[in-house]
Amino acid sequence: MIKQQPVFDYLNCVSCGICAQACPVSALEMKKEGKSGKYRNIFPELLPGVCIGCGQCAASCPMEVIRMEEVERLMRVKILPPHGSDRRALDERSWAELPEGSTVRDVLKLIRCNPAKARLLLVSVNGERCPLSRELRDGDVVGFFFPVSGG
Amino acid sequence: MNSFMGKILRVDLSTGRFESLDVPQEVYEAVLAGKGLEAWYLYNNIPAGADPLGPENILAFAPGALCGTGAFLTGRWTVACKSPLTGGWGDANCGGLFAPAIKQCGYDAIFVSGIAEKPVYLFCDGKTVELRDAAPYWGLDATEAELALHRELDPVCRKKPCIALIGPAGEKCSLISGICNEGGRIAARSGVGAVMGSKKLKAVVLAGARPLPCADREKVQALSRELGRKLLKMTLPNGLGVFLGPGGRAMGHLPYMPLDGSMTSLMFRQWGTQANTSLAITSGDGPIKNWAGTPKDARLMDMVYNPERINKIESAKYHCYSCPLGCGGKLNIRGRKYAEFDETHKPEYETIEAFGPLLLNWSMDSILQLNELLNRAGMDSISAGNTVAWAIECYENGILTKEQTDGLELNWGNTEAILALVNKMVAREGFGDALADGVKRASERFGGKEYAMHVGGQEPGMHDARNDPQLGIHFVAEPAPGKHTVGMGIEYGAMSLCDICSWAPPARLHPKSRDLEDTEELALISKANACYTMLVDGAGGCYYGQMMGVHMWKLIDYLNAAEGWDYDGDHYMEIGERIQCLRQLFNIKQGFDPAAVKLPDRMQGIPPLPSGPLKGITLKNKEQVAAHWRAFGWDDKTGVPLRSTVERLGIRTLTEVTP
Repeated sequence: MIKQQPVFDYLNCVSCGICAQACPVSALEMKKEGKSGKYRNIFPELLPGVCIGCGQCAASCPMEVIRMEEVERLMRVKILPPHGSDRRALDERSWAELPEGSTVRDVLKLIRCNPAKARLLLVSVNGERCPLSRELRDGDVVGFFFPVSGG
Repeated sequence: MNSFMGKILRVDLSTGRFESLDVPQEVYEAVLAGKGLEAWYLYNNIPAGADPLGPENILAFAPGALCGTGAFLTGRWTVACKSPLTGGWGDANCGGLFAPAIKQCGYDAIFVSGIAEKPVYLFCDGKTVELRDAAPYWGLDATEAELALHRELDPVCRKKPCIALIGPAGEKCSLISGICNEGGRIAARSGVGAVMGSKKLKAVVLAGARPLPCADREKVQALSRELGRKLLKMTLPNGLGVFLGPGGRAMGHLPYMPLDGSMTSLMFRQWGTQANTSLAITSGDGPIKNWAGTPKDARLMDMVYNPERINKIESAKYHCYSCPLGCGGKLNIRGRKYAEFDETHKPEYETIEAFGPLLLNWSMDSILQLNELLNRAGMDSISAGNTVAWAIECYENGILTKEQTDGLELNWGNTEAILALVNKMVAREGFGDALADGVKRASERFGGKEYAMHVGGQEPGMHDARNDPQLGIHFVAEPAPGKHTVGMGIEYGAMSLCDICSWAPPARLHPKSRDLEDTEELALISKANACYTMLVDGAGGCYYGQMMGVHMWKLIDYLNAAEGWDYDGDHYMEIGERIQCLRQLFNIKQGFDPAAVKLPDRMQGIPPLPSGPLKGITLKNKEQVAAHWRAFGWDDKTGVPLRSTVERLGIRTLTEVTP
């Protein structure tokens, strides 16, 4: 799957933060330390795996320092795992990367959910109830609700 | 298409109801967004005589018109309400990231009325609006609560939320409290934090991700690019900070006050607003020893507050949204004397001046700690500093006894006692409880009114009107009295307003003695200053952009490009005048008497200072304010806008428009 992601020319960046705020998924954070002339400053940094390639950062940048470059990437979904899951495959914002054509079952494997428990889970994708065989698409939000402990 | 979202959100905390209302286009044309939109809405919707801490008061949050268009220096948001400190119009202005977040939720402003039964926070992500239980966060300081909210909400929000919230000072309805965001940026003035606290609203959490509209984004971006490239090239050599004090001394003795807009941006980029501290101590701009001292009392203090010392512990610069200048910074204060925290935002000039020279405090380390303490508590450092200065002077003169001050020896420059007192004010304990509502209320309770420096109930910002008499006009004539941000004579020289406004007198180097007169020309200068500042607030601009001058930060071109209009500067200045007039009408409606506001004798130079750059100066403040009101078309005795002025500005028809 081909996606775009931003590349920065830090030399002409004025650290205004317009790109980071324009990003609809907060994939950019003003935390890369560097120098602007002689001043210590902070610059936008791309958080790994969060970018959806929409290009809003580049469109919003007045200094024209962001260029969208094509990169090959896996599909990204946000997972709201049930209590007691293994979250190691998820990033700090609960996003994970999966190959094209993955289903909700693959998500359960990713978070190492006990198959017996999996049968009891109520599953939603983008807020709609669905079966475990549902094929996922890039940007989906997968939620699990465990009727015993809650979700 | 223009840059407005076209909607406002109305929240009633008493009933838990939300309404999204359409704003007619003619309102935006008349007053833009930001403070203008708030003035229009609050004038219409706060009933006369409303209790500032009651359910009828409305707390407004609004970004400006240019926010999110790509225009630089437009990340400011304005909070407005009826001020519990003055009883009239109250507003406060803040940077950080909150301004675009309001627009990204789809609104040009959020208006909160009513009082919640228990502590709540408002959550909005552009699709849903909810009031959520804030019990876990109530009682936490502003920075801790913000971190806790991020910990809870970041994983479940697609977009990282932006949070504006109050600290313990606001929760306890301290009348000098403000509203914080970004771990220490604070909209501090007018007691807006107390209003939020009285509503039991701990925080406003916004996680919307809507794209922000703009008529001609490419043109706006081209204007920003031009400014950004200029700023990138601007640097000063290190080590120059040591010359600021002597430079200020020279400025103080020069017969005129020079200032250039590009120089301001250079200094703010190099040091931040602290650049002004050393200058102010020696030039007469900064008040010393509760506004009664002279630079002799603070001899060599400019070396203590040399901004280079702060730059040495700066770990990174801090920029508000859409700011290429970056006057803020993060300081590493771990292990320093008095420090109870690891990091703090770089203290602003106002904070350093209010807790340094104003109290004859020689310890920079104590100010770093006080800065973080007040930021976390959500308390206004200008008001707190003035109040502590009053307490010290009263103690020194025997009006306050050691029993009354809970055993604190409040002498000039007693750093430990100052720290202890501020801790008490924040916690509202003992003697601190009486001081947490500002200097006016404290002096009414204990006496010593002649030492209480307040204008209409609000403590003045840290610039001396005897050095810049124009400032004295705005301290008194401004609908939110005591604010230092509305206009200065020095600033007028830097802005070149005559190039965008046909009636603004040309700025030229002039003897300082001219500023002491009450001429029509000076009244036009103060009117132009006030109108332009209101326009900047309506556009959501930063005062440091304003100070760069109209040739660097091209506000008129920005507005025309972003809104798809083709108006000249005079039209925009009239928008500023309309906003100012609406705010004054708000005051009149609320029974606030503008003619009763006066500058304390000491600040007017009665008696005049015996030495230093302000030696022998006495202001003609009352006459100057009358001339200022005349220039606005307001009655020069009462400050009430004349019927003809209200008609000329079309305010009658504007106030009949409802969302």
